[in-house]
Amino acid sequence: MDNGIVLEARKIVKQFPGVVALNQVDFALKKNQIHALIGENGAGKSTLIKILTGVYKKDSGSIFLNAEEIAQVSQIKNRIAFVPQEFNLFPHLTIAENIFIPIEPKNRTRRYLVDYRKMNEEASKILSLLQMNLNPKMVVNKIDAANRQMVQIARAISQNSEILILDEPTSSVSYQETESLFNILRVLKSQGKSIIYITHKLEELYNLVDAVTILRDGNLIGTWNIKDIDRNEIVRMMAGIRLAKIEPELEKIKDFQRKKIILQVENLSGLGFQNISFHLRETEILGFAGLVGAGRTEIAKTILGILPKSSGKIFINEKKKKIQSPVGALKSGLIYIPEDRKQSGIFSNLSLKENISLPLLEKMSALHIISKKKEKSFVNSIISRFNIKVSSIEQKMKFLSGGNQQKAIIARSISVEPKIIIFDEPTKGIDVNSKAEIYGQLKELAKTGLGIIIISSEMEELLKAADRIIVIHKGEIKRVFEGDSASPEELLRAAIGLA
Amino acid sequence: MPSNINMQGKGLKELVRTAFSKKIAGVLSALIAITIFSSILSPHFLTSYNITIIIRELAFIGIVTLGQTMVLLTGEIDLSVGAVAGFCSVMAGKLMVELNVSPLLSIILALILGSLCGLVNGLLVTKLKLNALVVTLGTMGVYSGLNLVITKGKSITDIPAHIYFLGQGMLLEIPFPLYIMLAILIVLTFTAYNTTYGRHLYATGSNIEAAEIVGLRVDAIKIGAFIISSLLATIAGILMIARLGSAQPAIGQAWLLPSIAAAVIGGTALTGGEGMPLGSILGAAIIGVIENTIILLGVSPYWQTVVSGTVVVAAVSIDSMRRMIAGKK
Repeated sequence: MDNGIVLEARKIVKQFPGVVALNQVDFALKKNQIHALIGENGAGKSTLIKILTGVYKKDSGSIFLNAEEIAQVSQIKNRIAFVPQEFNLFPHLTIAENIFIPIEPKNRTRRYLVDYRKMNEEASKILSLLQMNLNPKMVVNKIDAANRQMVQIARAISQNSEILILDEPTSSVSYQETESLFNILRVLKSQGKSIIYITHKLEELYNLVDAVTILRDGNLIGTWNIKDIDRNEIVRMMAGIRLAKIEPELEKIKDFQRKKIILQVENLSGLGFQNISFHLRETEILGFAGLVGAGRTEIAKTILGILPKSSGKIFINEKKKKIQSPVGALKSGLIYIPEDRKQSGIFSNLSLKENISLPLLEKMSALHIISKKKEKSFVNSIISRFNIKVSSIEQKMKFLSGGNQQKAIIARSISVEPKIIIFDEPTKGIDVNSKAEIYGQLKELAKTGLGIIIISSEMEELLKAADRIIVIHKGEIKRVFEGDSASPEELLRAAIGLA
Repeated sequence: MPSNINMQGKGLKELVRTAFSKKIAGVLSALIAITIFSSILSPHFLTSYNITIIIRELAFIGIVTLGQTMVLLTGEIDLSVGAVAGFCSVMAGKLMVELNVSPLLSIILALILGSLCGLVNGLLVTKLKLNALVVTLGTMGVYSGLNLVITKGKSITDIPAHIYFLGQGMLLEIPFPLYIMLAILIVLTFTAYNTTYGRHLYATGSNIEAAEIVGLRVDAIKIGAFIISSLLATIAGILMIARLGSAQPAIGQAWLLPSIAAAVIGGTALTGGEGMPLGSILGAAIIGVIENTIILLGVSPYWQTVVSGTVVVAAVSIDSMRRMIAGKK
């Protein structure tokens, strides 16, 4: 504690079959510090955190808490509160229960009974600190992604640990919630807590953190005070040799007014939205902006036939279509890439090869018998085209990093040569360089004649990528903007319901 | 037909490939260990007579287990396998003996009946979105009940002798049913690893939501698995009536639990998406060896299920612990 370091990792090494995830990495968190951990997908950030929280066992290296070496990380589990990137909640329990398990307030006389009144009261207090007005008695699977993420954060905060680790805590939340989270983190810091903050959103760093550590391909690149390094340098160091593109140049195709309309939606109503009407042309990229929970995902899922519609018509290439399931949607050339890739996108215990080849298996088969040669060459071409980093295509999908998984899903969806793609939060949780790659690929695709709808909560990205943006507010279309004509503030105003 | 031979060849190659995979190594070593242990416990174990008995029993359970494996791979379960085996084989017996239908035709009709039973299971589970555990528990009652209705509890004897070879025959000193089991094993291994249907099967069991979004017809895939399961159970039942020379209503009753246990021992995940046909057969072999050894040792019949049950729990626990150690990453 002399040098004020509260948690330290030295020379950490961690290997998985075929890949060195961490190579002699050092990391030091000072007391009262908000310390950012940055890196591309696959750099090793999540692995390092998982070692610090006891999910993985390190192969070698040492960990120190307040200058004392820790032999078993389980000993310090209660000194560290962790908010994971993937949701780790109990969907059938209430918000209050999720926050307090396993340290529920107990009945004073009968210690085996839970004091529900106290639990709900305490939960309300924490929720209002985070400026969330949710009923703590609500069951978690009924609330949307943003609120679920806030519940996870509430849970970590309620543990009152001296060290708090947050892994991409704002990937699903909107601006307002981000601000209130930042305020809380600043308060916690002033109370003596130390915080590790993992994010891909570099803009957040300058607003919040004191120091930043950059990892790349499992190696430590360096640690800096945030004042001593600027964004461009950070990106350059994350990427290494490759040139980083913070501002991807995306030329816009202006004359798509003359292109034909491939998707027309009229007065579509369903779960959580009503009277949605819009059209999508060939080569057009249409953005769906809005706050998380506005209903955009529901609209997309209803068009795809995953959710039932209560009224409305859908026309594809000017023909009315009755789409009752993704199978039918696919037949009409319409494909949806879900937001939650782990839940709805990947087959975790199948290999990367099997994941990618799945939709096109018939094309690689004669009489339903798969040609392994064709499959291999197809998958290899996809991997190089989409820059997916993996040691072997036979690797189980669950061992890939989040970013690579996302890329694989996108690659798979594009490979079926759809005519219309609806992307739900395509770059959530993806590092800056991969984001630029993905948007570049989308633009290329649009040029070849596809119509693309991007649902995104990142207004700036929509403005750069989309030709037109529809803003959804509480299940209705609030405003439509031509890509150039909007500013992030105007988008936000529409998204929160102001004219 | 040349293409058929080619498929069998590829299936065989695939079988050999899976035989050398890491997952099989675990089950295989367990089997070898138990075999060695048994031969130490009883001098009669390693006799050709005893081994023949083990192999013949293995053939029946193996076929049923292979069918169960297909259903488990999709993330469902089929509790009606024993009942279907009994019901359809008894129907075959009735047709052959009492209605004087030719044995060949009776068998074919029984196979069709078995497939229909599977179709019913599949439709109830997929279209009505009912829980497979509950549905097949119910259909198990229906099919075994129909079995008793037809037989009134009495065996149908005098099955025509010229089909006896299916159950009792030997080819190169090996019981004929084993060849049927091996043929099915090769076909299913080929299906699992080389066909689109096989791939779809694993995908459906691995993540059904993702499978739907990618455009797989998960209902048809599951129904297919249920049909395969009931069909294979029927095949096992018919081989059994050929072996016994009579259609006994009790056929299949003892096949349900081993079919699930063998699949799990062999690496099939009850949650779906993981498993290998060869693994399931090795699992069935382990169970077969254990049950045989119990009998050889003269253990009281009342203790037999206690012992075999304990061994199953132990085997699954060892597998689970192995996963935990390996996955403690």
